[in-house]
Amino acid sequence: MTAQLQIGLGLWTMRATAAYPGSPPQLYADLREDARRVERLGLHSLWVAEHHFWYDGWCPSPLTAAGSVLGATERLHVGTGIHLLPMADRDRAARQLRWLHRLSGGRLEHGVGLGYREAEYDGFGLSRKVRGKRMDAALDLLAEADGPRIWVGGMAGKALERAGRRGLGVMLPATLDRDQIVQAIEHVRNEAADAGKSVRIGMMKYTWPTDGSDAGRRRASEALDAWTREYTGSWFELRGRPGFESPDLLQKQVDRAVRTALIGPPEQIAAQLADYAELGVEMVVAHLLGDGRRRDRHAAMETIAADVAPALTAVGA
Amino acid sequence: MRLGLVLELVDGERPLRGLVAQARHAEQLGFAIGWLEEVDPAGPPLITAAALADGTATIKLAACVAGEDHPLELAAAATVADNATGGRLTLALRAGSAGVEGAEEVADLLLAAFASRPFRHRGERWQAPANLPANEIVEERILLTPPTAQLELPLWLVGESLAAVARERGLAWVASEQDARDRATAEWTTTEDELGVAAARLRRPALRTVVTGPDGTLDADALVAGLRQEQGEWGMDVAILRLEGPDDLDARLRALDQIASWVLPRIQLDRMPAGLEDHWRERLPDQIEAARRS
Repeated sequence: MTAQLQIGLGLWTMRATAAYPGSPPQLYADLREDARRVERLGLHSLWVAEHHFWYDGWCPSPLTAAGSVLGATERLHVGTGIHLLPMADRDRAARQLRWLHRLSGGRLEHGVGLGYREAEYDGFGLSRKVRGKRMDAALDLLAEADGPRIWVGGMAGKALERAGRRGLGVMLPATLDRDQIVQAIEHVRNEAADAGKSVRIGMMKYTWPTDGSDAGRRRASEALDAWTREYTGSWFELRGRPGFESPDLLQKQVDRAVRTALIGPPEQIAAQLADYAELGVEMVVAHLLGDGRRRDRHAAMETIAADVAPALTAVGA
Repeated sequence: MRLGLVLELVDGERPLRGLVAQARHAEQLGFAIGWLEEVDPAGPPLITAAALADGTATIKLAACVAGEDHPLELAAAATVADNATGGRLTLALRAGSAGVEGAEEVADLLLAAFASRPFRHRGERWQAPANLPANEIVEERILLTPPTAQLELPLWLVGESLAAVARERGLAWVASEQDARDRATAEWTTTEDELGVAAARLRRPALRTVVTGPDGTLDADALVAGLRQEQGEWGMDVAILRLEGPDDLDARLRALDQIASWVLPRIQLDRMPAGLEDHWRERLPDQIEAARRS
């Protein structure tokens, strides 16, 4: 028996990039408009992101952004994909989460992650090395509270242990291939079973429906390349050097993102999602690569709602 | 004079609905600003302000927060709330558990962050960026991004203990309900003496309680007299009213209706023309009733 697969859409960052300039207040207005659109389409959720001190204005307060979306919708769930929980003061975060949970009638999905940019931790006066400990302490606090569902982001053994042992959800990153997904699910389930708990499985997936043509596929790959290359090149250290200074490794990262993405006609995407559901995935956050590409983003939203989600229900039933 | 309203949690089951109803009604009636504070069981006011972005269009939203939280977290939440509301946020800071000095440091870091210039803060409590030895890839100076939607996001300091801190920084000081007329007069006299002409650019807000009956009825004449007195004595120009007494949301909204017709018009001029207030007493009830039916 396959669990019902919930489909969320991501990832709203409210960035004004060099390629897609924009006005921040307008981007936040667009966020709410998109949220109402996703709600009308009947999909489960919309997910917002967090980063700091970056030129494009990447949303630095996902809980505040989530508040604005929850205030603009009635049924839609809103997720953080992800909230950099170790950088936050955990008592303050607990207050914010309790309030969002109550304000929205339980519509917040709390995705959390360690983050990786040292410059962000340092900006907040923290050593990046303490992030694991701070995550554990915060999760211990939040897991006991009456608050939103928690999804622990990551694929490392530690992340899977954190989720499994507390009986939370796990949010697997977008770039895993099928074997890695199978392994991660087995790992997190074993952790949960050892602790006498059950665990929810969520997954991000770069997703772009096409008309099945080569041109469509090329266009999607280019969009994903542009999304990945810029921040991976700027933020990741690849073999101890900034990403852009290691072009071959950077290319590998980009290739990996493209290879593991769901790019293709709706029926193909639906079949892949059905396969994930068989593996036990309950929530897929389809990462649309829609930053700045308003028309493409809206088209992808419509296609997923009209042609992917119903096909999936049919397969699941 | 502008009027504001303290937005209160009235519906425990659906907290947002009651807050939106108050804010929207106040907006339609010409209130300039809605005031949000963190009093249990209400939550962090910057999140609430963002949640009101959609239910309101023009009213300014003041989020009153304690000066004890991490100032960069506050700054990040504030810029998102300001952008989400299309530039309608005012950030009000009160002294919290970290005391006056704690709030002072938070105010300084917020001012640096809101400037959209690279900054580096070295304070008693906060270092941003810290440039910790354990961190390798760090910046010497950082910027808050995205910038606030407003070119100058209003940062107001609340309560007697922060009056001098506000003055030193050329920030508006909010007289709290504990800061009665004589206190406010003394503070603003000092501010004028010390800042000279620069004092002219500061708003002079105050939080004031209005007692109503359970059904929201209130003594409009007394309220007008009180506001005029404070306006005359120390220049109060934004009166943020906390309604005490209405039984439920409807009663609160009725109180707002009365203030909009019986108070707000009478504090927009330095003095009212002879006969106009008598004319209103005679005719306004019927006109309001006619407007309600139309």
